[in-house]
Amino acid sequence: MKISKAWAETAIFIALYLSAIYLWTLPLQKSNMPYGEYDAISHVEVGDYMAVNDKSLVNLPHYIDFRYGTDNLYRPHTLWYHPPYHTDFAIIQIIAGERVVPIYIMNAIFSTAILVSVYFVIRALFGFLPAILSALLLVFSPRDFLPFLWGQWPERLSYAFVPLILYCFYKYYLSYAEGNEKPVYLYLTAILFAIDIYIHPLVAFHSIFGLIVLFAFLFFKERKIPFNFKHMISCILIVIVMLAIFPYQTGNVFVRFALEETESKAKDFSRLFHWSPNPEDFKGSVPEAYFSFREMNGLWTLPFLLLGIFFLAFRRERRDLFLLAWLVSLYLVLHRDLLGKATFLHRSLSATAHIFAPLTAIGAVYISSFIKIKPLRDYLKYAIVALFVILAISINGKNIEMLKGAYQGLSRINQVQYEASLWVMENVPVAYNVSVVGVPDQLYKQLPWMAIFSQRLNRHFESFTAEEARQHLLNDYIFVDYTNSILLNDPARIKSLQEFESAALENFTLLYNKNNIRIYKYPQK
Amino acid sequence: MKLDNKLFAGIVLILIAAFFFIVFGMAGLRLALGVFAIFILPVYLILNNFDLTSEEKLIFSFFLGIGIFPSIVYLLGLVISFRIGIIITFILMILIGFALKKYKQKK
Repeated sequence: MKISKAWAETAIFIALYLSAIYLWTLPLQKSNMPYGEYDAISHVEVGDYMAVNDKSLVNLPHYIDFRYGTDNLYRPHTLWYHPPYHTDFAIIQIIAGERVVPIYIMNAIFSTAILVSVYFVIRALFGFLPAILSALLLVFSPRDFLPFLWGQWPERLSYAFVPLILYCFYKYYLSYAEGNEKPVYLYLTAILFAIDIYIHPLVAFHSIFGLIVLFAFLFFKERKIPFNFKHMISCILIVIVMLAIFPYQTGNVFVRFALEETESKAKDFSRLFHWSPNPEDFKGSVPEAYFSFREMNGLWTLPFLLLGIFFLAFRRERRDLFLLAWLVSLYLVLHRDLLGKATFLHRSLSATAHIFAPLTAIGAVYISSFIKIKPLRDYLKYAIVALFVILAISINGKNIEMLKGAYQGLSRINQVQYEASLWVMENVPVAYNVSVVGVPDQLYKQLPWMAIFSQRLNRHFESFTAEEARQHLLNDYIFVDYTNSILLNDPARIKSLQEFESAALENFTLLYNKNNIRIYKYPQK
Repeated sequence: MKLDNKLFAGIVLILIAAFFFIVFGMAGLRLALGVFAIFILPVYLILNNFDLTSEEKLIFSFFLGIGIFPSIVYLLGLVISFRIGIIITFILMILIGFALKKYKQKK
C-alpha cells in the first residue's frame, strides 16, 4: 500500500495538530469545570444562554447585563460582540450535549486554528518543511496560549484569519497580474475579512494594514494595479451586506472606534527600535515575561529569524514579499501608540509568533541553499531541521508547564457549586437575585461563573453594607456556601457561617441542602 | 496499491474522531463529528463548485463555515427555535451546494 507524499505530509500535520489540541486542553482534562478570567466568563455565558434557552440573544438578560450592559456603546444592553463566535459555541454545545466541556474544546480548536492557517499558507507558498516547523513553534507559543488561558478567545481565532485574508488577496493579485484573473479569491478576501470583523474588530484592523502593505509591495514588484470595477463593487457590497446583517454590533464597532481617545502623552520615538511595547505600561495586568523575546520565543530562534528576514529581503520573490508585507504591517500596528492609539497594544503583540514562526522556519530551512554541492546541501538541510525540532521541543516545549498548572484548585468553581447553580436555574424565578455567602473575597470570580449556570445574578453578600445586607436578605435567595471554607480548611470561617445561619436565617425557609451548600428564602407574606 | 484519496480522508476522519473520543469522551466525539458536519461539509459542497485546490476548499470551508453557518442560525433563532434553526441552516446550505453544482453543470 503506497501513501502519496502529500498525504504523508498531511498525516504529519494532523498528528502535530492533535498534539496541540491535547496539550492546550490539559487544564480541561484535569477538571471539567470552567476556567479563565472575566473575558472567559462573558464568552461562555453568551453561548451558553443561547443553547440553554433555545433562542438567539439580543437583549442581555439581567445576570449578563449587570456586568456588560454598557459594553455595546451604540445600543447599550444588547449583545456587544457580533453573534457568530458565540453562536458557534451554542451550536456545538447543543450538538455535543453538555454545557462546559464542548465550549472549551471548541475554544481550543478555535485558538489553535492559527496553526492550521499558518501551516496552510506557508505550505502553499514555501513547501512542507517551513510549514510544519512553523506549526511546531506555534504549538509552544505562550503569546498564543496565555491569552487563550486568560479568556481573550475571539481574538485568538480572529488572528487565524489574517494569513488567509492576505493569501486570498495575494492569489487574486497574481492571477490578475498574470492575465488569468480569478475573482473568486477576491470574493473570498472580502468574505473572510467580514467574518474577521465579526470575530474581533481589532484583528480586522491588522488585516487592513496587512492588505495595504501587501498591495504596496506587490505593486512595487509587478507595476500593475489589479482593478476590475465590477469585482471591486461586488466585494464592497459583500462586506457592507455582511456588516449590515448585525447593525447593533457593527454600530458598536464604529462608535467605539470614533470615541477611542487619542493619547496625548509624550511620544517615545525610541519605541521605533523596539518590537514590543514597554512592559512597564502594562504592569499589574500582563506579566513582564510576555514582552520578552527570550521567554516567549526562545533566544535560539533569533539567528534563524534574522536569517529568514535577510534571506527573503535579499531574494524578494513574490512569495517573499507576502511574508515581508505581513511582518511590516505587524510592525506598523504594534507602533500605533506613536499615533496615540495605544488601546490593546499588548494584544497586538500576541500576533508576533504567527509571523516570527514562519520566518524562523524559513531561515532554518534555507541556510543550506547557500551551499552549491547538492548531496551536502540536502544533508545540511535535514540536519538543521532535526536540530530545529530538538530545540523547539526541548526548549520551547517547556512552556507547556504553564498549561499544565493553569487554573487548578479553588480558582474554579467546584462540582457541588455547579450542581447547586443548576438547582437555582430550575427553581428560582428569573426575577430574583441570589446573594452568596461564604465565598472569600479572593475567590469572588466564582460568583459570575456560578451565575452562568444558574442564569441568575449572584451578589457577594459579604461586600454589602448593613442596610444593603438587610434588603438583600429579605428579597434575594440566600446561597450559603461552605465548600470553599472546607477546602481551605478554615474552621473560623465555618464557625462564622454557622453563626450567620442560626442568627440571620432563623425564620427563613431552607429550600436546598446538599453537599455543604444551603439555599434559603425569606417567606413572602 | 495506492491509497485512494477518499479512503485516506475517511481514515483520517475516523482517527480524528477516535482521538476526540479517547481524550474527551462522548462529548468530544459528538463535537468532532459536529464540526465536520456543520461547519465544514456544507461550505465545502458550495466551494466545490469553484476553481480552488482541494486544500483551499477544505481550509476555507472551516473558516467560512464558522462565520456563515452561525450567522444564519442566529438570525433564524430570533424568530424560531434555535435548534430548528440549526437543522434548517444545514439543509439550506446543502441545497445551495447541490443547486450550484446543477447550475454549473447546465452552464
